Amino acid sequence: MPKNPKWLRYDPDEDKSRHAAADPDCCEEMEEKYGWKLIEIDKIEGQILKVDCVFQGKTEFPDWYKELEREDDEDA
Amino acid sequence: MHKWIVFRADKRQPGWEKRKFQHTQSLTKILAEHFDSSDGPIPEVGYRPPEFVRVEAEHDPDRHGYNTHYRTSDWEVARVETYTPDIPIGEFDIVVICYCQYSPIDAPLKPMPERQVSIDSFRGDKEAYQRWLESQKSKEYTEV
Repeated sequence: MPKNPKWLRYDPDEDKSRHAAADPDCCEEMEEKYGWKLIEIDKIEGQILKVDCVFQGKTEFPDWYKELEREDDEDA
Repeated sequence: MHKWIVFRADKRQPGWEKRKFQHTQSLTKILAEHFDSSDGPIPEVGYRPPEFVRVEAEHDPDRHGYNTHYRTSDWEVARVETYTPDIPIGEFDIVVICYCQYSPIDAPLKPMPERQVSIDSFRGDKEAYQRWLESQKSKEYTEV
């Protein structure tokens, strides 16, 4: 997976996005993997997902990414 | 470029009594930190970092972490310093220190965006992601 992939929709000027994660390191890993800007990590009440990662801008995966994940699951 | 951006209160700014590291109760001047792998520029003088706020009456533990809203901060960047490593093999390519002054603007509150969950939330563990999806079918999350 390329760093800061251009296929990912990322508009740094548009509000904020929030992704749940297992731990704070996951937030930094997402930030580095996708070329995002991590601006806040918030503890949440969860057994598995324990933090919210807040990113600057609108972070979106394209529809085909979801399809690819489903295909991978079916193949597994 | 991987940037570590630290927002730090300038000298003799108000509220220093409450600025503490929670785990040690040590006083600190750090207001916030950002981790930036985007292609965007570093903050400039006049930039106000976002500030996260908890509105107790609107807090829902199923939807929120500690904070329920965000807004443009009352702190404004007055000076910026950058530091680059001697040998560029470390975690960060640049460290940016933004010295801030308190300049209240009473910016409007915005609700936190909806929480998204993806396979990256589970460090790429597809099985953990699938198990979680099965267990959460009746709850309100935005699957990505």
